Amino acid sequence: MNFDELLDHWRHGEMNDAELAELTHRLATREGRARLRQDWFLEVSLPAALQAASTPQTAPAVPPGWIAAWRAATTAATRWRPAWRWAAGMATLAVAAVCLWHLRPGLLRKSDSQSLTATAAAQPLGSATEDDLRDLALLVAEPPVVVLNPPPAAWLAVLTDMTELHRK
Amino acid sequence: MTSSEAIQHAATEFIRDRRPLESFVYGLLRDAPAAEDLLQEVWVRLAAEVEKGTHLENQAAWCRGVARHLALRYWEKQRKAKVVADSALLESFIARAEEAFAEADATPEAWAARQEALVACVAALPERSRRLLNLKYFDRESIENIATVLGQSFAAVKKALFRLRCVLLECVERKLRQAPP
Repeated sequence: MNFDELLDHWRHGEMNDAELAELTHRLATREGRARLRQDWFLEVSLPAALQAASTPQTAPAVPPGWIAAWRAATTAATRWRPAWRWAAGMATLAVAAVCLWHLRPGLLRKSDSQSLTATAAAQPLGSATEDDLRDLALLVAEPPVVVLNPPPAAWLAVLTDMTELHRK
Repeated sequence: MTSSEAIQHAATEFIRDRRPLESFVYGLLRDAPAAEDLLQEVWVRLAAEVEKGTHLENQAAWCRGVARHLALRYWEKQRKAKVVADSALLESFIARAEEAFAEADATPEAWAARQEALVACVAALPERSRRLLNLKYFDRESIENIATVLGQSFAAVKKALFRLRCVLLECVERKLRQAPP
């Protein structure tokens, strides 16, 4: 049985005493230990890698400046908050859109005019093409980002909470 | 350094070194919720130690040591359910595994490069293979369920997963070798 098969048996809980002894024996070498490390790293990293690999790699259409700024702000604000806050953010966006609707031609800069999304936002709904509307809908309905491997700041918050709980 | 600053510092270091520790713990326990609980326990113990004012020369090694003891305790409990083999053998296996992670290329950059290489390798897989991996590692389906979903035998799914893992491991190593230093 080769080393990878032994590791596979360990992973599936199918290891008998003789195989465990063999695996331990093979870990006496530096190569064996490196292989174990790589194998266990793969096991723990695959979910995040699968998610990252499934993200569409096509270059997104460049949104107009003010939309890009709003998206950045809402993404940052909602990344680590529960869904209801995201919903509240979207509701605010909807109200703002209604209030600013009459100003829309003035809000578009020259470069914005090349964007389908901006064009759709600037047109009366009746004259927008189906593609324009779909782009706009995708833009507004973008869901909150799901992050399996939280960035350090989020980890820090969790650890701080845990420490507080432990103290109590 | 105040106690709160010391904990903050320990937390930063704990987060920085979390990848190898996660791999070590998850590899030993083979159970995501149990591994998560164990990691939390390691942090709680670390925070308590830091709060006492203990200076840890090598925090990563200290955490790994605690994780090893907790993993042994975990398997002790499992042994009562007759899952695991001879305890001395298990202990030496876990010690070897700890040694493997102690000598790891454990800089955060190295682990990040490894993760990046893995993403590229996964992205290059055919859709069918990715679906299989998704069912196993993302949806956490059992091999029996995957076999049912894909209309394949248990043995075929298991073999396919094994081969995919080998392909990915080779791919990651190749990419890391090719990457500029």
